[in-house]
Parts: sequence; C-alpha cells; structure tokens
Amino acid sequence: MRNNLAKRQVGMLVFFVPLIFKIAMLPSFLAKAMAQDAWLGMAILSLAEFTGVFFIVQSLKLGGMEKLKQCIGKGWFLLLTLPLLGVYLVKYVVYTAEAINYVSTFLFYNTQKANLVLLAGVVVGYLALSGVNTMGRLSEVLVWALPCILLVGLSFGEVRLHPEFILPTLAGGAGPLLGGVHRYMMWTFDLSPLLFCKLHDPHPRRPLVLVGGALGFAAVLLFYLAFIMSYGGAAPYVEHAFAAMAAFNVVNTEIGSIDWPTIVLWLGTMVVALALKGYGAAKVGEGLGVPYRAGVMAFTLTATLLCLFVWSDLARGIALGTSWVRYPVVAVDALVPLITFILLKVHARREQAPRTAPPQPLDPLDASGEGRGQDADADNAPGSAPTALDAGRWSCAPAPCPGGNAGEAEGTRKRRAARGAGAAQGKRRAQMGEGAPETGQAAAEANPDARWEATCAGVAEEEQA
Amino acid sequence: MKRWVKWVVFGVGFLMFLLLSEHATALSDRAIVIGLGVDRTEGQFEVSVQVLVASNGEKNANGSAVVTQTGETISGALSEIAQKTGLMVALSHCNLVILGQGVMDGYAFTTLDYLRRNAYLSENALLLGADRAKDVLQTQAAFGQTASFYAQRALIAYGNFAGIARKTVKEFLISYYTHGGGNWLTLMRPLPVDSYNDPSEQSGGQKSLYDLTHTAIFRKGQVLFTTTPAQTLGLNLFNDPLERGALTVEGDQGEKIEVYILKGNSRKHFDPEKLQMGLEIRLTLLLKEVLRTPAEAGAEEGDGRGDGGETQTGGEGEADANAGTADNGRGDGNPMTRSALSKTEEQRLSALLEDCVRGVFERAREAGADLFDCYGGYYRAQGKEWEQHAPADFLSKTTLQISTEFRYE
Repeated sequence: MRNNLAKRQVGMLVFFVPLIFKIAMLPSFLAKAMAQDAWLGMAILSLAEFTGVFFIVQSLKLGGMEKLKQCIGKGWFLLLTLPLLGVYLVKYVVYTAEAINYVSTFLFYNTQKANLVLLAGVVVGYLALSGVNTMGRLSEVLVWALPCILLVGLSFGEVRLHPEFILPTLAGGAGPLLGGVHRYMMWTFDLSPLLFCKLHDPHPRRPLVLVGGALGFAAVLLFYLAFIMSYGGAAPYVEHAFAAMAAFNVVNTEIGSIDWPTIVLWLGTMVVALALKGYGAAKVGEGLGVPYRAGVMAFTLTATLLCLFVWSDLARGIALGTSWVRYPVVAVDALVPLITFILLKVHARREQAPRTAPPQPLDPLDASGEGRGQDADADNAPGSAPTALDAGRWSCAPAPCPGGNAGEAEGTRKRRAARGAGAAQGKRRAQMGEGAPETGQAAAEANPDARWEATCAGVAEEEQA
Repeated sequence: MKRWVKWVVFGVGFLMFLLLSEHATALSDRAIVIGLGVDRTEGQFEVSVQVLVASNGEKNANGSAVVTQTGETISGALSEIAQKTGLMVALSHCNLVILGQGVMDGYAFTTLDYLRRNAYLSENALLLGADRAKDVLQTQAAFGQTASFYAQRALIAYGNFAGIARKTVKEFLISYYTHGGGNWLTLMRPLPVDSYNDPSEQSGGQKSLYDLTHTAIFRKGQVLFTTTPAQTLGLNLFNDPLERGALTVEGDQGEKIEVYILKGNSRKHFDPEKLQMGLEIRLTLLLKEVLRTPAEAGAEEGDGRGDGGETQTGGEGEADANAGTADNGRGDGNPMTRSALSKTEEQRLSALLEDCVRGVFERAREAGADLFDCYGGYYRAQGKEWEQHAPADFLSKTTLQISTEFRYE
C-alpha cells in the first residue's frame, strides 16, 4: 500500500514538490543573475519541469517503473535507474543545506546546524519509510495551509507592489537570462521518484495531475512576479523569499506575527520533498535486492553524513548545486522519465499488435483487450516479477497472469485456486451443454466474468496436468 | 510497517530531540526588546535597547527600561547587554529601530543589513532617525508607556500622512537598491511638554511629545540634508499611496479652508528623450473647515443677508455649481454646506502642492541625490539604450511636469 498514490495525491505532489525549493532561496539567486527578469528564468525552468511531469504521468499510466522492469529486464533496469541514486543524493544534500539555513537563520536563535541535520534525517527517514502514500496524505493535509495563508494575508495584509520594478524586460538581452537558467538548472526536475509509485486512477477523465501541474506553474510564476514587484533591486538580498513575502508587510504590533502558516507549510512540504528522494533511492535499491526499509535507512544515513561532514553549510551546498555536478543530475533527472515513457510506449504498442491477430486461446487475458489484459504478455514473460492482485486493482499496472509465476504471492494463489475450483465446475457445465450453448471461448468474449472463470479453469487444468 | 521499527524510529528520534535540541529560553529569561537604538560614538557602536519589564504594581509603572552598551560591532554590543542583564536579548518583537546621526552618516545600510539578516529583526519593523537614538528612547512619552510604543502608534496611525514619510526596514533597503539610491528616513525629535500634569503618574521627570515631520534625505546610506515639513509633504505626494493628511488653502474671499485627504495616489511618467518626468497627483478630498476672520464674517453677513449669498460667489464669477453651493451656506449660518473648492481655490491648492514637490526635488538635486529615481525611470522606459547613452548630467537637465486632479467626497 505504501507504493500507491491516488491521482489526487499525485496532483498535489506535482503542485507542492517542485514549488517548495523554487520559492525559498532560489528567487534571490535568480534575481542576482537575471535582475528583474528572474520571473522569466523561472518560467523556463518550470516549463521544463512540468513538461517532464507529462512523461512521468504517462509512464505511470503505462505501469511505471515496475512494469518497465518486467519489460526490459533487471540489468537494463538497473542501468537506467542506478544513476538516479546519485541524483537523489546530490539533491538531498543541496536542498538540506537550504532547509537547514532556513531553520537556523529564520526560525531559531543560535542553533547548531549539525543538530538540525540529524533531526531532519530522522523526520525525513521516517516519512520515507512510511511510503509515498503517506507523503501524498501529508500533502493533502498541508494544502489546507494555503487558504489559511491567503485568508490571513487578505485580512491583515498590506502588500505594496511596484509593477514598474519588472521593467524593462530582457534589457540585457537573453544572455543573463540563459546564464541564470544554466547556473541554477538543478532546482528543477524533482518529480522523478514518482515513477516508482503506482497510480490509482479510478476516474481517468479527471485531469487532476494536469490541474496540479498548471496550478504549480502559475503559483511559481505569480510568486516570482510578486517578489520582484515587491523588492525590486533588493531582491537578491532577500534570503528567504517565501518567508519574507508571506509576512505581508504587516507591522507586528498590530496583530502579532502571522508567518506561522507559511512556516508550517514550508517545513512540511520540505520534508515531503526530501522524503520523496529517499523513497526514490530506496526503490532503486530494491532493484539491487536491497529491502525497501534498509534502502531508506542507508540513503538517509549516507545523505546525513554527507551533510554533516562534507557539505556542511549553505555555501558548500549551493556550490555543489551550481558546480559541474548539475549537468549529470539534470540530464539523468530529465531523461529517465522520458526514456521510461518511450520504452513503455513501445512495449505497449508491441502488446497491442497481437490483438489484431486471431484470438489467442492460450492467453485469454490478452484476448480480452480490456484494462488489465493489455499487459498480460509482460506478466507471462520469463523472468517477469510477480504482481499482486491488489496492486493490479490499484494501478494501471497489469493484473497477474494466473498462469502461475514462480514468485507468486501465496494469498494470490489461494484466491486464484478458490476461483479456479468454481470456474472449472462452470466450464465443465458449459462443455456438457448446460446453460449457454456457446463454447468456453465464446462465453469468455461475451461475458468478462465468464471469461475470467474460464481462464482460471483452464489454468487449473493445466496445473493439474 | 512493523511495530518494532516504529518504536525504534520513535525512540531514536525522541532521544535525538532530547540530546540535540537547543534549550528553550524561558520567557522570563528573555529581554523582550520593543525598541532598538543604534548610535555611533568614538568609532564604536552604541546600542540601546528598550526592554519590557514585567510590571509589579506601582513600581516600574512604565514597564520598560533602556539598557545601553558599546561595542566594535552591533552584535558585540548586544552580547554585552545580554551579559549585563543576564537575559537573552530577543529582537523578534522589536518593531522600531532608531538610527542616530552617526549611524545615518554612512553606517545605516550595514547596520540594517546585519539586523535583518542575523538578528531576527522583522524587516517590517518601523525605521526612524534621530539626533541621538539613546536620548529618544530614554525620554518619557506623555502619551503611551514608552517612546517606542508612542512612535509605533503614531507611525501606524499617521505614517504616510501628509506630513510624515514612514519607512520600514524593508522599504529602506528597497530604496537603497534603486538605481539612484535616493532614500529617506523620518526623524523623531522629542518636544518637551512643560505643563504636563497627570496625578496618576508616580514617577516624575520631563514628559515629551515627538515631532515626526522632518525627514532625513539619503543617497546610498549617506545622509545629505533634512527636509522641512512642506518638503516632507512633497515627498509623500510623490510616493504612492498617500494615506490621509490635512492641507490648508486660502479661499476666494481670503478665508482659510482646511481640506482633508481621504485618498491619494500618484503616477509617474519618464521621457528619456526630453529628460522629462511627469507626475500626476490625484487626491480625494473632504472639506473640513472654512475659517473666516470676524471682519470677513461680519461683512458677509451684512452683504449677504436676505439674498442667500448670491453676491458671495467666487471671484471668477464662473457658474461653478460647487462654489455656488458653498456660498449658499454663508448667509444662513451654516458654513459647512459647501463640499468642493472653486476652480481658483483648486489652482491655489495645486500651486501649493507643486511647490512642495518641487521644493524637495530641487533641494535633493542640489545635494546630488536622485531622490525620485529618475535614472531608474528612464532606464525602465528606454532599457539598455539608456544605460549606454545616459548623459552624466541627466539629473540637472531633468524637468518636472506636475499635474493635479481633485475629487471630493
């Protein structure tokens, strides 16, 4: 269950995760590099990221990484996903440096950063252990901070915006703009860990992920515009843009400090974003045979040690994020979803091809052409990993072939056997001419339930044989 | 997740929180600073903090104390205060910063930059200048418990009033980073109250009110000159939005008319080709008072009795409905029925406002300060071309075109 995400939760993660580190320190970095054009630079970065979301969501609909592993085999799968391990490690280190700086300079007095790194490791590790569905739930809770912030801001805020501060646009040409994008490109493509989850999509026509992505894109752009209009030339010197903007220019004597909703939102979402890296790393580790929990713990421990002893302060963390390391990080983070999508798409087309051929009596699920049946070939492929029935119900990933994979779950076997016993009886009745006059195959085509029973009956007979 | 894993993680986390967390400082061990003053004397920073003191009945009735320490750095001086008082200096509730003359003269930016970045001071804290910050903090406000609370209340209620140009730490830093670097800061000057008599007050001493109508003008953190109240009004008229204020204009019959600004805004236009800055001032006004001298009133009563004041219409003789309305009130003993100024009165008011704006603009230009950020305005209008071909003497060649528009409530 910890691997499952409802579509609504994916939408919220797509909204929050790319947003949260783009509105903390990055605004000041971009403002320093691009001055008043920082919002344009962010538009380019965000557009690239939300384009990547398309490939991630489509890949999930085609079965995600689990399906890909079955398609291309373990070796190729590891070749594709192992680089992600390094990517998540680097991003964890850079983002943690930013988060610790926020806590130690904005929230608390004279705090030792090493302690914060350790505490962050515990919290992030626990959330990653809980699984991606807990992150989804957490994002559903955190989203309520947004109306709270807006309510407080509209009630007490005194925002003074200077639209002239964003002018002139591209006065220095595209050079500074592209230079800034090039330098800070690592603060994007944060959603690749979602490739490893399973999408529960009971309402395929509801574009919840698209809405989440569009809202996230709009929120980032509006935030940057408001930030530049508010601070103008002083924007490069505002360390924590989100915290500064969310104070709404209200003098504290009037109503006291009102930045707590933003603190709750930022801290909570920061933990989710970091835990998502841990989740992704552990899922990569599973490909190596490392159990999920051990993977999470190993990743969190390694990252925490790196944060403590190698990239131990903000300057070093940012230096890492803007060093040559950013090229492979961005390349891997951007290309893996794209390659995954292409491979899954190609495989899906290959699967569709036999459907135009005459019926396949040996694989009735494939012959059905409905839902789970479309990926049945992959499940029957030699060496393919077993898939639980429950998982098939939750996701677009294929349902298991009842043909009896070697590693099939025991519960699945029992359920299948129970269904098979009843179905075999039904099939015998059908063969003896009782009930409908059609053959088992024809009955299967006419009625999905009958088809399922017939399939299981056939499989049971084969097993007996 | 297995139960033992949860317990282990919880146990480790709890232990880490216990062992690694910072010890929270109790509220009673904190010096809650409500006002911070920074002076510069003999090459050192002199930092004064006005700290809230828990009131214990009749003693410490004013509930605050001012503690001062000097240091090579602001942080060092604050640490000295912490050691001397035995309390942790907490600036998170400080909403007022006063910079002394020595700090305004070259150290304003560095001081504020440190406070904002490292000392947990809210960047929305109000900012003031003074001849000597410590002296201002030590004065006893005639109204309100402390000078800090007085200043905060006055600036919140009447900041951006016609005669007070309020600034926060954030706004000061934003202005510092404009192209021209022109900036300003309201000066707080104590005005001793001679005949203050409050029987409930146990402690004696000189009570003070405060003047906030003078403004120090800066260029990049360096103070250049101090404005008059009229020039402060000019500064506020340039800035958007102007929140309330009172103006006095001479009426057509020589009477004094007090108008109250309900709302004001301004628009700026920059023409880099002509080196011209246009300023459109729009004010929504309310006529508060029409004051005539006894002689005028007597003469008007004699002239206007019986004809409804028809002979009292504006000097221009125009068919001005508003002027007619206003004058109708004179003969019937109800002087406040007029709701608008006549055209000539509006012209007089426009001239008054224009003088105020030009006054501060010219004064700043003489001092070499691009107070209205003309460079930035031209740059925004022309872009890179302006940067490349901007004349060195653009400020002295810039002409100011002012137009006004009045609406009435």
